[in-house]
Amino acid sequence: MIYIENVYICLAAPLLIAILCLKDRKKIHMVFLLSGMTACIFSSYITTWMAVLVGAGHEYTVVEIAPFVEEVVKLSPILFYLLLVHPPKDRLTECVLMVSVGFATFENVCYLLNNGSDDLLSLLIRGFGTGAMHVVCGVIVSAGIIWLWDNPWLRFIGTVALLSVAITYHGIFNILVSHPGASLVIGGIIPVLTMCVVLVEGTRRRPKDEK
Amino acid sequence: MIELIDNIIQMIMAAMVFSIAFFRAFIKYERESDDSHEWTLIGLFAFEYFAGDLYDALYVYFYETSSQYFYISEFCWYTSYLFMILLLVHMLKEKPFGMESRFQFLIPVFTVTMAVVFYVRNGDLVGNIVSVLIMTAAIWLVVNGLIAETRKPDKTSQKKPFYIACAVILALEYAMWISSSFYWPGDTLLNPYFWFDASFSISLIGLLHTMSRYHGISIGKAVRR
Repeated sequence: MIYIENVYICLAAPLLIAILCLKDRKKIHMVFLLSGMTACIFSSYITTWMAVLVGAGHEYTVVEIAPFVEEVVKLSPILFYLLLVHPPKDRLTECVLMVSVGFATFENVCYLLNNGSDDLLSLLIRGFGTGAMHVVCGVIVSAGIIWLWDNPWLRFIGTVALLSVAITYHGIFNILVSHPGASLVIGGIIPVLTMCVVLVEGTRRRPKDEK
Repeated sequence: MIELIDNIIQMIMAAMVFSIAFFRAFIKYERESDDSHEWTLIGLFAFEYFAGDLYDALYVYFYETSSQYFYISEFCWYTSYLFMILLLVHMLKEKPFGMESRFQFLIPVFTVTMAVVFYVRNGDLVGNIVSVLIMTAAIWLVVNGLIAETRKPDKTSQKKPFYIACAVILALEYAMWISSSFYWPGDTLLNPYFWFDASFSISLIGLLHTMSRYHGISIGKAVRR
């Protein structure tokens, strides 16, 4: 049996030390990285509880319940920060990125522990695909918060709607990577390609002095 | 088989609409035009419908059954209308949820009545409550827009075809829900659901066309001035 709480503690401990040593923006980034890992462990508890509640098997849990729970739980550190601190909106994208990366990192660690580290190719596809997928989903949701920043009601509706886009994207990814062969490769490539488009566009639109 | 063909046609139409809409949004964004928001919202509306259909199709392909525990596809289809609501709010600009006519009170009466009928036929309390809220808001905004455009002194209404296209989409959605609530023997062409679904797929193109006309007319007038 794998005790993911122990794994979490081993990963979180050096991050906590880093948080104590860093200042300002770098500290906030590390806090959100740790929040992403914490969100991952909480979402696994909630997903398991919901699966037991409805009597779903492992496969159906992964493709039906997990996308919904993970995207909602991943959003919670950002909502908490937004409601309590009222940060400037340009900082929000970085925070969303760090939460998504933290979440994907811990998820990959748990996947490694459950499935072993023998098959390098599928781990590469899974590793990059999962990381890219979580970042893309985070960017999709943060776009709603930032784009509709000025009107709270529209911000709420837009965020809920984009959260649904992220949940569906995540669900489609989970269905594809749950089956070996061509669907695993396609499932892994789609978020990587999406991420490349986002990166190219983001770099192109960055102000020249920042570049 | 017919359902599969129906879903594939809808996916293709939705994919065409969101591709064209996102491309136009990108071009408008490059030119720093305000129109990019409208194209983005149409693209998101169509994309969400496409994503719901794709998820459903993949699920059926790999597991040979439809979703059993959490209906991500239905969630998609409901929230695609949230994008339509955002688009209508953006198009209406001033007092989008104001009351242009007292007959608008019939809108929630209609949506609640239909929700009760669907609940009695199909169950699903939460889904029906969500659909009442979303469809009431969407129909309210469409009616507001149509009344506002009709009352304008300038009779060459630029936005009216767009509001009519939205009304057609909402009407077809209700037609699909009504036809799916009643039992039709077998998945044949005699089942009206498939006809309404095919019409819905075509109406997505209508939405794109009316938005293009709206922007085309606006640009034309500015050039003439």
